[in-house]
Amino acid sequence: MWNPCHPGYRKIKVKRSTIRTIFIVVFLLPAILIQTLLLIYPSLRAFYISFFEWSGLSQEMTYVGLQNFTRMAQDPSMRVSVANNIYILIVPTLATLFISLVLAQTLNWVPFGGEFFKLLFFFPNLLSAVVWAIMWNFVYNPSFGAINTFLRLVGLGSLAKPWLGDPNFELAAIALVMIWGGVGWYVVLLSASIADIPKDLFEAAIMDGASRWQQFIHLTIPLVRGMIRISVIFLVINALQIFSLVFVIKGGFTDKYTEVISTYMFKQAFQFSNLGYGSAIAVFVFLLLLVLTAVALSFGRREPVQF
Amino acid sequence: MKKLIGLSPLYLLLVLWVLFISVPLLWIFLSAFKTNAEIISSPWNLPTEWQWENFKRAWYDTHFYRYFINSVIYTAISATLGTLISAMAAYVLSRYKFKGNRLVYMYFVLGLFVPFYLTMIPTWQLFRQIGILGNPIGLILLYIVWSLPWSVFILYGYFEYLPQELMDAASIDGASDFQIFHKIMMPLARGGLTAMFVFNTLWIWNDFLMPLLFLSDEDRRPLPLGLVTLFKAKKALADWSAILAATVIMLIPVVVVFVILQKQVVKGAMAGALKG
Repeated sequence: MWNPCHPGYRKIKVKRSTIRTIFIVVFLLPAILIQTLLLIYPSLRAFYISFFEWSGLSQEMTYVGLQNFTRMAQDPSMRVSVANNIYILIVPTLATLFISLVLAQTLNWVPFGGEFFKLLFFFPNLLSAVVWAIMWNFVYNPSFGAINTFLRLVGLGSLAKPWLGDPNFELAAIALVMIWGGVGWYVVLLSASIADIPKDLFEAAIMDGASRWQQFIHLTIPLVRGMIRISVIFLVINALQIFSLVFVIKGGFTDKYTEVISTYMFKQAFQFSNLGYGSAIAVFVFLLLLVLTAVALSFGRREPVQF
Repeated sequence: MKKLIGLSPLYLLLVLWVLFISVPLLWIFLSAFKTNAEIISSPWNLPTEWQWENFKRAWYDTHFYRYFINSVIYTAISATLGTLISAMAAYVLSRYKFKGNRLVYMYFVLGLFVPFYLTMIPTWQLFRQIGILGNPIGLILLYIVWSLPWSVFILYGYFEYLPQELMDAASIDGASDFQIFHKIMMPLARGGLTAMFVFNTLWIWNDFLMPLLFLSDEDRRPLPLGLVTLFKAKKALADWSAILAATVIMLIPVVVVFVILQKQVVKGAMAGALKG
């Protein structure tokens, strides 16, 4: 019989709560330990290393103050990587956002087949960036790639180019792959948000004679701005961290036409053995990510839309 | 009829995007069945004879079967452990009141703001110091830790909305905390756990950077790194069909799972970025 006034009750309660404490600790401990050892500690350590010159070959580290950071500002290769990364940050982000919005809105308008199209659009997202890179390396191949052979087939052979060997097109070629692979994810994200808009708002707009384009611009875009902001954050984070696609697409190397911040950091750290300088670049990327995320979060922050 | 005409530009747009996505994929798929000579001479024709031999060559010549097995092992262990450890932490944090709960939760969520690049060099140093550089154990630990922030964050949300009544009833019936977790809460959160497991499986299966940094040994490489190794080696020999066949081999498991599970995979890959 359960009776809180029973003299044994207190004892049971104490026993139970000790067991509960053990339960809580046991369940939390593995996650906390591994998170501390392999995520939090290395993050803090990166800041520390960024103040040293260190080859990684020996234990010897020389304190150099902010020298790694001033070096970054003067390093022409770093400047090129940042410029390339800004391109990768802006062009695919804007294109992906626009195309995803248009496709998500279209999916919302069609009476049937929407789910099927959504699945097809999503498919490239399931593939490794390595697969994207190797596939498109073939598609862009100057002699037998899909693009150039198709152009020759339809009599536009003069437009054929070595897409990944021409400084004017390399970054655009990479951007196209990012758009090809990325759009599906944002279509799913945005179409769910568009589906939440009450139908009568669209009906009212149609009664007022609004064209589809007008509905899209004046109704949909302002109403899903919360999800647009989230998409922008995801796109920016991905663009700043892009590595595998850029690293593999030309055959496993990067040069000054395709170098981005992450590949340049990798090069400095693991090929040139400048681990201190590499850490400084990593710290720079981290701070940049924080700033850009904060900007995206505060940008256009009006009262949230409620239906 | 008029309505159908009005809809046709919409469908045209959707079909155009499907073509843009699928043409490169189909072109690669068909080319994987051609001879090297055919790939160059007739890139837009169907293969005259389907060269299954390409797949044999890719599979046996280059340790590709080894990479495949490695990938299966690494992914199975890391995705299972990563999801489980996250689920345990998320469950306790979302269902039990104790001092410092909020703080521990924030500690995990903090990980969402840390890019892997920041930890790359110190992790490399740490692995070298404790002697697991090049050892798959280090790689598996990394996959587990980089599953944590997102998984804890999402699963916390799932566990939070499970009904409290069941927990109380079981507790009164004398069930222990572990039994409640194991017998009641885990089955109830199956949807969230599956989505999280799919998400973790996908990114681990596809990851290239971590093995590139932490596994130099040829025989221990997982598929993405192995594929790039093969890509470089066979490119030098102009053995295009072997590269394409290997790429298709890497796609097959993903395609099969996608066709069977469809929406669940999309949901998993989005991992809670969508509600419901």
